[in-house]
Amino acid sequence: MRYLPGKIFSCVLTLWLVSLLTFIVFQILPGNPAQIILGAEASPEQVAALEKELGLDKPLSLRYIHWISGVFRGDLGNSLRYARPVRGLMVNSLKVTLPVAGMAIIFIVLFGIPLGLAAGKYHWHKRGVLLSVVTQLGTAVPSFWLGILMMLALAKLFSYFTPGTFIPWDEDWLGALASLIPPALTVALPKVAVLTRYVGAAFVEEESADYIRTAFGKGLAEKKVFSNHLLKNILISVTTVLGLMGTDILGGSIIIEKVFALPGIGRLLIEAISFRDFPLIQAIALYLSGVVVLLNLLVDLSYSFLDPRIRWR
Amino acid sequence: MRIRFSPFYLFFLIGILLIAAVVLRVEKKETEHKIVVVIPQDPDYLDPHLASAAGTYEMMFNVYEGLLKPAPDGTLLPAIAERYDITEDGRSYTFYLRPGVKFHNGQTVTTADVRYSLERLMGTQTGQPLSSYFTKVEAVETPDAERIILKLKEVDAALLNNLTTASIIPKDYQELNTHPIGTGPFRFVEYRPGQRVLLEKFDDYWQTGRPFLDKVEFRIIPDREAALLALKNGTVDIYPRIDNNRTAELGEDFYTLRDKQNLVQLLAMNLNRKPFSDHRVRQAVNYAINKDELIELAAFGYGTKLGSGLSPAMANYYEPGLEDFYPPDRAKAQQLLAEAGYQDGFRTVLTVPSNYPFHVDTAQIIVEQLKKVGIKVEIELVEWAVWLQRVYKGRDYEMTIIGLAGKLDPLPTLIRYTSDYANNFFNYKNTEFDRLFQQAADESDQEKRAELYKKAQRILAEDAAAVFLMDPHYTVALRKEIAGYQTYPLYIQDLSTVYRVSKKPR
Repeated sequence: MRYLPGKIFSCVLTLWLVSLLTFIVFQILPGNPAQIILGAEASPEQVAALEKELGLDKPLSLRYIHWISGVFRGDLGNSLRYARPVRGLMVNSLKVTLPVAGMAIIFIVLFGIPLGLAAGKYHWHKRGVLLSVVTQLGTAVPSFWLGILMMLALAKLFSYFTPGTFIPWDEDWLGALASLIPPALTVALPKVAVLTRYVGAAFVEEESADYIRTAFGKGLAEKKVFSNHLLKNILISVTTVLGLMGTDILGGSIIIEKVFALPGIGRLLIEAISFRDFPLIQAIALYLSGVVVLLNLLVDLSYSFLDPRIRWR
Repeated sequence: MRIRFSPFYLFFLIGILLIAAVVLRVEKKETEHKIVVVIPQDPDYLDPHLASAAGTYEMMFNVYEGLLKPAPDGTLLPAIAERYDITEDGRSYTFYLRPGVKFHNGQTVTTADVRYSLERLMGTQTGQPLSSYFTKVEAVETPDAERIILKLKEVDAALLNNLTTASIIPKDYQELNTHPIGTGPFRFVEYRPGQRVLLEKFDDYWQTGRPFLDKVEFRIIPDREAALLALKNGTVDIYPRIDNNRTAELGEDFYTLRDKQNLVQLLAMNLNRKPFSDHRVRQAVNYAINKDELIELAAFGYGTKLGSGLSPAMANYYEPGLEDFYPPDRAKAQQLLAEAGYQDGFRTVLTVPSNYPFHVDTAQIIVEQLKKVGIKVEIELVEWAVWLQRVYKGRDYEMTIIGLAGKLDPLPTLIRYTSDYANNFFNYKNTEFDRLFQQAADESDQEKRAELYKKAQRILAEDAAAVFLMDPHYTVALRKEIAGYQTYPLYIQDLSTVYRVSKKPR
């Protein structure tokens, strides 16, 4: 069990390096948050007052040290742009991004794996070719276009969904959930296509492996061969792909959130960057790198469950 | 046994999901008298004394009020002050508090609240003024429970107009930024960053019978396409500042209102840089630009030509005729360029903030127009933050396009052209202009003052301080059902007079 502590240490190190990198990039970036917040209409007096209020008169390195020491105390600081705690802003945005991501992942697994198995099984059939064409198309479609199309279709045909209709959870959770389904589908569709192709390819490859022939040879039923042997082996590579997709999705899609006017983490990030909101950018960078690190850790750990040959040492 | 992967099972699932989604979103019958207005960005500060973004003021105008209030025609209405007197010498203003005006927390407004609010803006206690509008005020006195007297160091003709933006807040109230309290027709309910600002009717509003609406929601949708869809599909009722080329597709359920918005869109030329330091070159650029064509192409005909740093929306102060001071004349432009030694034209860079698609469109047309007289312009798109830092503050640019929002009073707009003003990014210097500006600022007679401002504008035009392009019209799209909307020559969404026809009280 020496494996886990080492892993965790390297994770924390990665997170810290990311925050340091963000800090360094931030130093190069032109722009004064106080001026951006107040715009061109503000008088110089107002800008000066705000700079002082926000603590912008202190050097950035000091602000970084202040921020990082806060993080260890569980305090993410205050957003410059919104003049309120970063934590609350993050939580509110995650309430949008995480459900979308969760639903998208469910859709991906629900559709991608069965379709992929079908693609593999009917690889040489007409149906397989059709699937291959469709999924090829699916991977090629840009998500913003798909999003706009989806929105127009839903709005026009069913007058069901309109952008900007995201309803706060505490007001109408069913409505909130319903309004997040179209974006989740938009996020999921291209990835379903990718997963389908991936699973299909893995299927075809494993199908011709020796152990499958052996399994058939010893007289196992097709169903058993697939579920006991083939599926297990495919799952390992599927987990890797899903892990990668997960990091992508949990980061919140800036484009999808823009198209559907969702107040998620992607939009918060854009806002934070355009306002040079240092504490907010740092917190989002921390979250994004945290997701990547954590998911990679989970994928690594899950290997040992899926593949008995891999064990923690 | 074979495993069957029926594609039907998938379609079935998708179908179920869609149906479930439709069913889940059962149309809720609106029983409230509520209106949703779409806005493109979050407010900067809910504290009115810290806020400076026009986008914040347009919302919070419904929540906060000053001693005086702007009227839709740009004149002044008494608000928290019932009336006022000004002494002969213009050095002392006495405001009489309107009795019984209530804050949203139920407290009655007292002279102490007014004094606190004004002193907070002036920085009397802190030494840190939050506004530059009240530097001429020497003291705020409250001799009794009815009168507030403003003693001035010198005459300040812009004072009354500036007081409309000096929101009155409860004395020593510390939570303005999270729980704003004002005296306006609507009271603040909540602000969810990136989502909305919600207001509700203030029952004790001093103007009886107002407002009509029970609730107002400002929905934040940054994407213009998404905002338009939201309007069409009924999520949103009012879309202020809709793109002029998109109104045609709205259909029968909507109508639009248009007005000048008191915005000066201009092409600034850095006067500290060659060749723009030469006044003939600036004039040549002015002659080369065809504003009518620009309005036709960039604003789809909905714009008013300008000739100075003020918009005709400020009818009392605008010097008419200046918009044709430089009629489009290519030959003249080329002749002036030749005189200045640029017979073959020159190359320059036009820096445009990329977050304003309208300015970007304008820039593209200007490039074409200037090309015809031999000036080769390259467009450089920069992020808003970079524009503010480099162009506006750093004055490091050659040409730029920006819109400067006008106020009720010409002073804050024209001060930008005075030699030593911190935000004079034009690098414009003219002692005669400075003198006239100062004289106008010290003049208490409004008519004489207007004359001085008009003279000052003429100087701006003669010097070709910039190319004053247009005041693009403000277009608001509303659902047919909604009435009572009033346009202002200011960045304001006044919802106190708005109502749904079906729910009109009485």
